[in-house]
Amino acid sequence: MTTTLIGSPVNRVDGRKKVTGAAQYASEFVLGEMTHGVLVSSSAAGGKIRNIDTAEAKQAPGVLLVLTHKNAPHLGKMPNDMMAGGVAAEARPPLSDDQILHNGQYVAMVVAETLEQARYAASLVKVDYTKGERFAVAIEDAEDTRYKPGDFMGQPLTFERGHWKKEFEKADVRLDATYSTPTEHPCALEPHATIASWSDDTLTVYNATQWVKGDQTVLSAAFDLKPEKVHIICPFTGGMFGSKGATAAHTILAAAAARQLKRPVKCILTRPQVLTDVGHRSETIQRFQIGATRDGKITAMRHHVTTHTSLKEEFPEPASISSRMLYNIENYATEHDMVRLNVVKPSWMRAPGEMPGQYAQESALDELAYELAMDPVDLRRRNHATIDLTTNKPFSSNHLLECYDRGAERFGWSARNPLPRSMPDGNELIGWGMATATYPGYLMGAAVNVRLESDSSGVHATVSTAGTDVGTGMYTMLTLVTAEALGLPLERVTAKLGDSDLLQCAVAGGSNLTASTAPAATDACTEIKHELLKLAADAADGFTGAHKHANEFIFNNGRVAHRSDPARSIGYAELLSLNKHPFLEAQAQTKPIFGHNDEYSFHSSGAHFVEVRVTPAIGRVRVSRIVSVFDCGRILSAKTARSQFMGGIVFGIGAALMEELTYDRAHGQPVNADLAGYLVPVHADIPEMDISWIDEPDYNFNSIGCRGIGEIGITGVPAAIANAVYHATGKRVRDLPITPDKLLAT
Amino acid sequence: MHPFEYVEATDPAAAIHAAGEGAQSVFFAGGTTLIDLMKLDVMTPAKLVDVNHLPFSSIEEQPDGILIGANVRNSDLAHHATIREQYPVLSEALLAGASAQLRNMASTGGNLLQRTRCTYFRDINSACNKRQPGSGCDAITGVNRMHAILGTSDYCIATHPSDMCVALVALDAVIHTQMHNGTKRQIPITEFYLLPGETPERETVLNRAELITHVHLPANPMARRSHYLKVRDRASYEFALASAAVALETKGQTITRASVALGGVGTVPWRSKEAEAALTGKPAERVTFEAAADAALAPAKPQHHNAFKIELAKRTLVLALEELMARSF
Amino acid sequence: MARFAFEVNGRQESVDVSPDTPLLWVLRDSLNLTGTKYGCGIAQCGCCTVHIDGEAVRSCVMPVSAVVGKKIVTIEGLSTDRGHPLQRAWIAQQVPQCGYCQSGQIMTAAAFLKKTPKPTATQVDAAMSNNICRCGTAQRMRAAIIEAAGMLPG
Repeated sequence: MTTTLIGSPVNRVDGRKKVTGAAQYASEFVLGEMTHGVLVSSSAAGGKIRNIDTAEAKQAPGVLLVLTHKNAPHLGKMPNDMMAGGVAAEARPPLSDDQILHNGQYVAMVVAETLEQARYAASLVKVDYTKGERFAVAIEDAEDTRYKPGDFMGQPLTFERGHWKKEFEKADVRLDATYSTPTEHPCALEPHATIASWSDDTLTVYNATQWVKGDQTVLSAAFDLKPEKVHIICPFTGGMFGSKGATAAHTILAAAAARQLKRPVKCILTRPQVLTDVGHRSETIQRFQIGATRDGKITAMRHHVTTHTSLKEEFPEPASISSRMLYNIENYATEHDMVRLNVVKPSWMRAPGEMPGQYAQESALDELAYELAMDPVDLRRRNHATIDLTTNKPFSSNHLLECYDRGAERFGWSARNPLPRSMPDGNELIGWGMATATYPGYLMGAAVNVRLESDSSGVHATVSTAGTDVGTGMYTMLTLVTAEALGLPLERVTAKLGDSDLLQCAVAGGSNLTASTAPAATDACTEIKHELLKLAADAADGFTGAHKHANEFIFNNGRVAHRSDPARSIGYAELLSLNKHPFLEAQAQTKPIFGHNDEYSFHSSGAHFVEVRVTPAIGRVRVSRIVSVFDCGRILSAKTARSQFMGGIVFGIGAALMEELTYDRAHGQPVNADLAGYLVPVHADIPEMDISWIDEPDYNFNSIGCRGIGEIGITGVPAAIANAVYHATGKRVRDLPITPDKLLAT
Repeated sequence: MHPFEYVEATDPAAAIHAAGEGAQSVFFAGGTTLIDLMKLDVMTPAKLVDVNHLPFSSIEEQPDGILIGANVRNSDLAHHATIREQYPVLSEALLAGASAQLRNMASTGGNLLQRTRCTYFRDINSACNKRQPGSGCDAITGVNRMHAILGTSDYCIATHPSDMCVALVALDAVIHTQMHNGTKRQIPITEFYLLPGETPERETVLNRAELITHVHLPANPMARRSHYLKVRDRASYEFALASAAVALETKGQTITRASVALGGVGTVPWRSKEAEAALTGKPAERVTFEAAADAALAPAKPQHHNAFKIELAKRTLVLALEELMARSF
Repeated sequence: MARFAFEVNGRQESVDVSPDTPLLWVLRDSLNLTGTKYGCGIAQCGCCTVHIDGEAVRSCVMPVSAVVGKKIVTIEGLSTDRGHPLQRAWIAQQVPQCGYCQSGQIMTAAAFLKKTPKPTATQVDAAMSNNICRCGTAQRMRAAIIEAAGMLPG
């Protein structure tokens, strides 16, 4: 096969829509008789609702309905497990009782003719709470609730191999350091939004989501409907980063209110509601104990993790997921503790586990490198793993060492003087740091349909699956893969996504969707091509003479030709005209792989090299340069892939330098739940990034050789920055984010 | 948002009259703070009096200084040639504040009345003496990393957020107003802001329906040699952790006059006469600057989370003075 | 409710809404111009940026009563053929990811380029930093704005 499109810098197929305002997001569908729902959030962080007075709100202009726990409809039990095909953000249905579990919890929904009317009426709902209830929003205030969680997606969070303690105690060099990361929020720019509408017994929902099939499963359970009676539509999602994978309370309440009113209800969360009521990344406290020989062989590692979850449910931020496998450490142990806080249930955020875990592990390795007077890249090479010691399976494809080599060369790492404060420049200190990136290969499975048909100007292929394009470039990638497989120009292929009427597709999460859908699309195309060859054989008399065997024909330049004489060829349109239907259609699917199968462990990796400029007088840190090299298997769409890596790295800059959702321990509310308070990187924080990839296909993973790319970019970046800050200043900040106050204090 | 009435004023007297009717009326200029706070139900005015069409949108150069109309947009003021040349501290402060787009909307008069970003002030479920006198102050017991260390009281520790006002304080600006009965007055900016004391709800000496018409910048040769430095948690578009507005006059190596104001650390834009005294008559060198910084922060009172601001403000002031001295004139 | 008249993308419009309604919701809900986005509602993110009489302004904090008689331009009206140099450069540089903030980014950049036709990268950062993008497209935007500046006359 001659590759022409795969890996090439194809433009996004939805680019024009997105620069002209034409891309339609969930809240932008126009339905007749639209009403507007506004949610009222609890100002208490615990206790109970003593009384809720809705009389004034009900009488405000335009108000149609006020739902509270007193009149909310009873809902069915909703699935809460990815393996069950859908995840309700919280198992307890919204407005189900008078218990308050966290600040911000919805206590009422007000529906009115206009948004402004609903907003005003919502301000008139009066709620009395029982006073003096105990609550906690910080780990140190909830030590009495400390417990060990269950597994995370089938993986134990506490386990041991070898004898870490014995080896640690007798090690030449020992490091014992504790790192912490704060509560962080995905905070996508499109606030969560739903339009729900009923016609007879069918529920149609336009939802800002990363999983239309998951929403379908949850809502059909909640409203006791057959799945086919629930239709979820989401052509474009305005970012998610994990936060739109679970079906959330506002979606369920919009559907409930719409059923009661017999009119569509639109509900868009406010920004504070997004930050307070949509699951965040839990804070982590991570203690690393590492023992090593003088020449840098790590002989023992223990990684102790503490994270928080909500009062009644469990989401453990799996911070040890990468420390257990990334390096060749025989004697290893990890433990995970959790405490219960009065906060919304934590949830997925870009690289759950790897982001905080790699910050801590890669910072610890940098500290160890200084202890050993060893180059940090050399230390990592010295402990490079070729088999995954958690599964004892070899990595299917691992080019991490090449990432180090290429990254170091592109950055100019060899010129680094390891001494802290060795690169002053006027008022500033320059520092260089590095860290390893890693992320598992996930493939959660998808079914893809491809249909080839004739239209007035020739043939056209449509590739479709229920998966969503959350900004990653799924439309572009599937268009490209299908065009490549069928030998069609890009403009002759259309991708259809984000509709639960389409074929089953996994959540757009875990960086899995390309790996899940691209091979399926290619396989479906292969089946169509078989049919085309058969048609060609049937039609052989018409253009080749007497041959009638499909294997005598080949594909050439978007046509079917005879093997002996490629000049004798026939176009798809002609072949389709000979078929009994004016189209050919095929479906194919992929089966799930969660990081490993019977033979291999699947992991992507990479290396970040970072330069910072620190103004030590005032503790100001600016990232001035980043070189990142990734090994993620084969890269299908170069431009959208580069964007995903960039986006991940920018998230890493945010985590390193500014992101932190802070709670008031006296009253329990987040104090910076808006976009002026929860800081994310802006243009001036983002340097030029030099991003490249190894591009070695991993055919053990899937037939197309690609692993995911959406999350690996963030992993390691905060550590590379923290390590560069140490190199610049001699100050080791073990608590993210690295803000001016911390650099002044240490 | 609570429903409100909207009135467009065509002349100052009509604006003042309209704002004087009913207790719940406010002037509306750029709207960048007002509408924001109305959406949060922190401010619930019954009437907005739009003053955008009043004839206060010019920058006039006068023999004794510059007269800036209250409706002059922050962006126009920041880029005005004379301001940039003769009052660089003001231009720099404006450019460090908010963002280009908010500067296009924000007016000079409105910026003088910018409200605090204190999270407890902005959250109607929290206790806040400024928003609701007598309700208490959740900031004192709460998260107060961003709060003030100078000019605080047991009633309020909210930081004044403006960058522009810090520069204006350093420049001894004078605020021109007009009142109900037609009288006008001129208020030096150093007397314009009120410390919170026991009445943090009173932020300025303005009477109800008193309209800011202009800001006067007195002629001041020292202002040519002035500078604004701001430290914040991200590179742009963020309020100050600490900032310093400085102006110096030197003779040889000796400082003959100085003007120092601090932002991000005070309940009002903070003028430090103590720092100025510590600089005047001393050699322009680091030791002097550090002594001035110590003097400026001597009255500081830290809260639970913001003790770092004392050191940060000192260093910001020292660095601002160093950067200013490094410039050629 | 009351009637308010103004010009949007060259057309006279008149809407019957409450005077406190922000321009953003008039554009989105009354006029179905949904290219202008809601991101925060309190002027913190820039998703709702439109031009009012040529200035980039946040429509979420602009009551409809304050725009009577004014000329408003939204992303849908930035160019007649949807081929403004910034839109072309945005495609050439592959800026959008999720796309949600991009209308506001482009409108901010368009107003900026009018005042600063040949910007430096630092000027771009200063002008654009008030528009938040969570996908991390700043590097691509920087390149696109400088590329678009090259396409503009002069």
